[in-house]
Order: sequence, then C-alpha cells, then structure tokens
Amino acid sequence: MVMIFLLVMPSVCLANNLMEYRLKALYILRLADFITWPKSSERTHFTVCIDLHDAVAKELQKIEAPLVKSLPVVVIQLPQKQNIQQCQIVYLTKESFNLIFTEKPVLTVSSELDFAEQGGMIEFFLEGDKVKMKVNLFVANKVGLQLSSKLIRLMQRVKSADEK
Amino acid sequence: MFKSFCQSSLSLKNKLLIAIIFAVSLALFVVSVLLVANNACNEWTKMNERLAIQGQIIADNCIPAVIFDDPYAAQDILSAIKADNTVSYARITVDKNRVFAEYKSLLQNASFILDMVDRLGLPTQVKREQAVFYQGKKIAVIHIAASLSALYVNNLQYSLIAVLISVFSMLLAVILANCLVRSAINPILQLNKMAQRISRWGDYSLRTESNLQDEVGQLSRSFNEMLDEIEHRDSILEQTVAKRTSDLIQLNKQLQHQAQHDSLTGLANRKLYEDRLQVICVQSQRNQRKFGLMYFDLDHFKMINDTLGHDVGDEVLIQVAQRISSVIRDEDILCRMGGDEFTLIINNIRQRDDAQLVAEKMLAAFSQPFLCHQHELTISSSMGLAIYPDDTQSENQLMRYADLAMYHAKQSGRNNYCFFTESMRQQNETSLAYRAQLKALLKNAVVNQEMQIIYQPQVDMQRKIVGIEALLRWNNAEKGVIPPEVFIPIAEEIGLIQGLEEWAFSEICEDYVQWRLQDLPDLKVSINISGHRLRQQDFLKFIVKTLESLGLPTSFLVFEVHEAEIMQNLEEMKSIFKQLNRQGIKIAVDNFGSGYTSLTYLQQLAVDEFKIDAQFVRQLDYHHGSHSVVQAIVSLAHSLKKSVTAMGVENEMQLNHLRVLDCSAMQGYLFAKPLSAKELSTLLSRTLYLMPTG
Repeated sequence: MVMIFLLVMPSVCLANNLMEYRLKALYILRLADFITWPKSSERTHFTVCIDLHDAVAKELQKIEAPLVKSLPVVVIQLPQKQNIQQCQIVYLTKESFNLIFTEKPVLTVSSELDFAEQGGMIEFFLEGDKVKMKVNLFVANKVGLQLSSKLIRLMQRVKSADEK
Repeated sequence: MFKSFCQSSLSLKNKLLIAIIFAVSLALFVVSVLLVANNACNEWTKMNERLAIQGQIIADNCIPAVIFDDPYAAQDILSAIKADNTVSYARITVDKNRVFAEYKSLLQNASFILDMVDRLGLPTQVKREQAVFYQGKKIAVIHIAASLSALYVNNLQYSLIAVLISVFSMLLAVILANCLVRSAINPILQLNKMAQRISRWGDYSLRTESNLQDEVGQLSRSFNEMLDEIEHRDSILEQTVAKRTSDLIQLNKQLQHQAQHDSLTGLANRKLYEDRLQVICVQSQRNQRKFGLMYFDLDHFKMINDTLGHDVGDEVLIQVAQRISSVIRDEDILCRMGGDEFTLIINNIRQRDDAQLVAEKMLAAFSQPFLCHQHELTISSSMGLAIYPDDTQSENQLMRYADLAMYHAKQSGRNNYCFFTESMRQQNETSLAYRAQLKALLKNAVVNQEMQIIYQPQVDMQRKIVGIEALLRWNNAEKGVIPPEVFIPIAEEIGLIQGLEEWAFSEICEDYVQWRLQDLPDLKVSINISGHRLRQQDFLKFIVKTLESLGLPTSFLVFEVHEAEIMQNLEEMKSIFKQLNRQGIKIAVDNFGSGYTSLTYLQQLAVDEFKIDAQFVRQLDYHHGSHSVVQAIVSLAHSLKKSVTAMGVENEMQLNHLRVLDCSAMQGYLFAKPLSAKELSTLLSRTLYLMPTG
C-alpha cells in the first residue's frame, strides 16, 4: 500500500525526514530500472548493499517484495571492498566513503554533499521539499554502467574534481 | 422532369448540349466531392496517427519524470512537440486528473474558420489520451489535442482547386461538345430539311446524300429507300387511279342506264317514264299535238307467280315486253312501272282512234299463247287509255285517268281496253268521298261505342255448339252498318288497325271472363287476325300479357288467318304458327279454297282447322264444281287429321250435303246469326243444341 501510495504520489510534501528516507529508498530501486549493468543477463537477483543501520536501509527493508528489472531485490550489509562486486547498487554514507572508488560495475549512490563531484555516481540532494539527483556520468561509464537518457534528463550532471 | 425535357421544344442540338453539360457537371461534382472527402479522410487518419505516435513518445519519455516527481523535466518533454504547430495542447495528469505538466500552443491559426466550423456543429480538434504504465501500474495519463483548422483550410483549398478545375473542364467540355454535337447532328438536320422540302413541295424525286456508316447514314439510306418506294407507289397509284376513273365513267354510264331502265325487261322504268312524259307533254303542247297514255297490267299475273313460280312470272314479263315492243312504233315509249304494270306513251296521234288502233293491236298480240319454261300460258291484259290534252293537260292526272280506265276495263271482264270518260272520274270521286267520310268517322268509332263484338256459334253435326267466331261490327248512326271488308282496309290505311284489334281482343277476353263467371261451358273462340299484325314482334307479347292480366288460359283461342295472307308470307307464317302453337293457341285457315294454297306446304303448316269459303257452301246444292271442291277440302282435312268448318250454311239442303261429306263443324244463319255477348250468354245458359231456324 505504501509503495502504491508513493508511486502515485511522488511529490507528497515531505513533512519530515522519515518521508525523505522512504523516498530515497524508493528512488534507489527505481534508478535501477533505467541503468544497464554489463552481463546483467546472468543475474538471478538484484543486490542492494547498504549499511543496514542507516535509516534509508530501514525504509528499503520495509518495501514488500521489491522487484528491479523483474528480479527480486536482496538488501545486504555493505561488504568489504574486495567483495564489492556482489552488489549492483551500494548506498554509501560518510562512514563507508572508502568504497566510493570502485573499478567494478557497481552503482554508487549517496546523500552526502558533493558525492558526485568527489567520484561517486549518483547523489541525492534536497531542493525545497523534493529529492533531486546529481550524476557523474564519467564515473558510471568508466565501470560499464549505462544510464538511460530519460534518466539523465532529470539529473544535474557534474564532473569529478580531478576531471575538471 | 426527364420526360418533359425530352418533349420540350428545344432544338436537338441544345438538348444534346444540355444533356452533356449536365452529365459532365454531375461527373465533375461527384469526382470533386469524392476527392475532397478522400483527402479529408486521409488527413484525419494521418492526424490521428501522428497524435497517437506523439502520445506514445511522450508516454515513454515521461516515465522517469513522473516516478522521480520532476514536473520540469516533464514540461521539457512536452515542449518538444512545439515543432508540431497543429498540436493545440498536451498535458500529463496524475492522481485523478491533477495536472503534472502542461504545454499549450500559442498559435491561433485561422480562428475564423474554426468559429464557422464550430457553428456548423463540426469537430474543431482531435483529442487523444494515452495512459502511462510503470511496473504494470498506471501512473499518469497523457492528454494531447490537435486543432483541425489546418485540415479545414487544407480541404478548403483543395475544394477551391477542384471547383476551378471543374469550371475549366466544364468550359472545355462545352466547347468540345458544341463542336462534336454540331458535326454529329448536322446530317440529321440536313435530313430534316430534306423531309420538310419534300413535304412542302411534294417532290418525291429528291434524295439525301450521306456517306456516313453510322445510324444516321443508315437512316438516310432508309429515307431514300422509302422515297423510292413512295415514288414507285405514286406511279402505280396514278395508273390505278386512271384505270379506276375510266372504270367509274363506264360504271356510271351503266348505272345511269340501270337507273332509268328496268333490269328484267330492259324497258324504261318509272323514273325515265316520268322524265319522258314531262318532255312529251311540253313538246305536244308546243306542237299542238296529241298523245295517248295507256296503263295496262296482266290479268291474274299473281296466280302465275304463285302457282308456277317467279321464274315463269319473270319470263312472262320479258316475253310480254318483247311482244308489245314489236307491235308499237319507234316513237312510242313502253315502260315497266313495277310488278306486272306497264305504261305506253302513244306519241304523236291525230285522234283517239289512233290510240284505239294500238290497243287493238296489243290485244291481238296477247291472243297468242306464251311459251314459258315448257308451260303454254294464255295471258290477257286489261288496258286503260287517256288522251292528252283532250282528257287533261296534267301529267299526274293523265296517269290517274289511265289507271281509272284500266280499273273499269277490269271491272268489265278483263282482256279488253277502256278509254277514260268523265263519268269514271265522277264515280271514283264519289267513292273516294265516301271513303274519306268513313275515315273521319272511324277515328271516333270506338270512343263513340259504335264498335261492337258479335259472336256467331259454330255447331257440330249433332248441332251442338262447339265454338263461336268473334266478329267486329261497326254500326254508325249516319252510315248504318258498315261491313268489315269496307272499314278494315280503311283502318289499315290510316293506322288504326292495331288499336282496333287490341281493343277487340281485350273486349273478347272480358266477355269470356264474364261467361266463365256465369259457369257457361268452355267454348273455343275464333278471332280473325290479319297476317300483317301477326308478323309484328309485339303482337304475341300483347296477347300473352292481356291473357295473364285476366287470368285466362290460351287454350280457348283460335286465330283465323286468311288463306291468301298465309301464302304471301309462307316461311314467316310457318315460324309464327309454331310459336303460337307453343303458346297453346290454335290456328284456322280462313276462306280455305278461295286462294291458291300450295298443297306442298299445307302439311308443314302448324294449322288445326280449315274453314271452307262460304261461296262454295252457298253453291253446294246447284253447282257441281263447288260440291267437288268442298268434298276435296273435307277429305284433305280428314287425311291431314285437321278439323274442317263450313261457313255460310243457310239451308237444310246445304246441311244435308255437308253431312254426307262428313264435315266436322258448321256455321251460318241456318243455326244462328251473330249474337251480342249478352244474347249469347242467355242462349248458352238455356241450351247447347241449336235447331235450324229456317
């Protein structure tokens, strides 16, 4: 019910942080629909790695039987850097910023300020009461992720500091 | 309308032109309408397809914008359709028609056309809706609409072009049709002109010239063939007319001859006689000369016709004409007036004796018997003579006087001649005056109750009354009792006979009703009926109607018809008698023996009774010939199984003869004179047997 509500009413005024987290959790899953991972055909499920203590992780886990590209979604605790390739999406916090640079085809998402400029791929930020996104296409493309132009159209495009 | 157009007085050329223009207009109109409609349909379909594609593109592109709640991005997507200036608006709605993003065209194209279209009730724009799905759920709806103004403008332009092309085509068609029609109907017009010339001048030698191989050429050739035929017929007709005219002239001559001559004898007929008489009168008057007019007929000629047949009669007439012609002079004129009556104009005589000489010669000519069809016939003639101008100067009177003289010649024993005298005229005028008086009196005889029905009983050999004969009696206060043989011919002449007979019949029937009421014995009643009346169609109807109105049967009636009248119209009488017999009415032959009854026919006639003429009965006791006649009639009647009644029995001697001859019934003064109805009923109530009164 919550999901339907959120799908239909994406711009409900975010009265508090809880709403923001829930929206972010939802957006993480929706992003996957517009991104192509290499060798995605071999996959049987879709893995989202997140610090399970984070508020966004809690909201993610609340979503009932979530599907991404028709695959069931598994939410797991952020692994070590060497095991990062088991994740398709990682949601990073300040504490797990070490995972930002990855050579593997893993989509990195975060709500930290200037995440994209610092080498992350997609950064959530608030504009008024809306959750907006920034993207660093260079980073995403480097690891073989292809973002749909339809998605890119919504995002603010940034470049890494070193790129500039 | 089509019929009236075809029958209008327009020329053929104009009719064809109008028909072509109408057909071309109709075709152009239909083609234009179809093209414009087709164009409109195509435009409509294209517009719908374009809108559908645009809707689909927007739907595909706007999913992220919707799910990531980015109306600006959505707005951007919608703005992309700005390129299509027909789209009037596009909008994305979510959450039950809440507008998520919207695009509106700022262009206001041909708004006056749209106003007009709107006023006509036609659609002004096309709308489409496209649902947007994400993960199998409807998340938004795309509304997109396009203005139809471009379509209408386009179609208007298209129509305008169609009209222009049509008008141009029409003009071209009219010009072309005009040329073609003129060349096509020109031969027909020439043919028409030729026909008019032929009918006006009647010159059938004219021909049309046409080398065309089409129907018009064929028509021209047929027209020429028809003219050939007419010319040919004309010449035949002229020949025929010439021949007919000469035939007619010939025929006219013949007819003229026939009109003036008797076909049987070749003598001049009455017409030529009258013409000649007139001329001779004038000539005689001018030259102070006399001429005699002889009127003559053949004695008993009717008997020859009746007994030997008309062939013999005709032969006699021819021989008489030849014989008389041979004894008269060339200047005398012999004419046949009809039947056996002849006239002879004895022209140019000095005195009466000259005419007498001719009459003597003629008598001498008749003295030799005539041989006709193996019959040797002795024929005599009675002649009357009148002399112009001694007796009269009037042609008509001359003829009458000759006729009167002939009548006297007959009266004085036939086979002689008689000159007209003044005393003959006086005698004739006296009898004519008497007849004139009777005519006047007869008209009122019934009204004045001068007419009476009297009944004479008929008895059998035992003197028992077996029947009665009804007789009509006219007792005039001034002239006394006038016998029926006098007044019946007068009644016939002045047309009173029918009324008189009907009155008499009704009287008889009423008397009969009275006798029946008095319980008198039923007797048969004989009534004299003229053959003329019998032959009239309504007679039998009258009889039946009268009897029915009084409730009387027909069985008591016996109609007596004179023998001579039966013989005159034998075949007709046969059928009339049959009809009467069917009705139950008996027939008696009156005055049997006085005429010339053909015994061959006697058997075939449906008669029941013979009545022997009184003249034979009267002579029974002293004239042997009469005795033989009566005997013959009675035995004839017996052999034919008919009853026979002797009339005019007046004495015992006659009665005895009749008894010996075995006559069936008798009638006469010996038994009873005619009685009135009242006297008869008194007699019958007393006795049925009558003693001789003598």
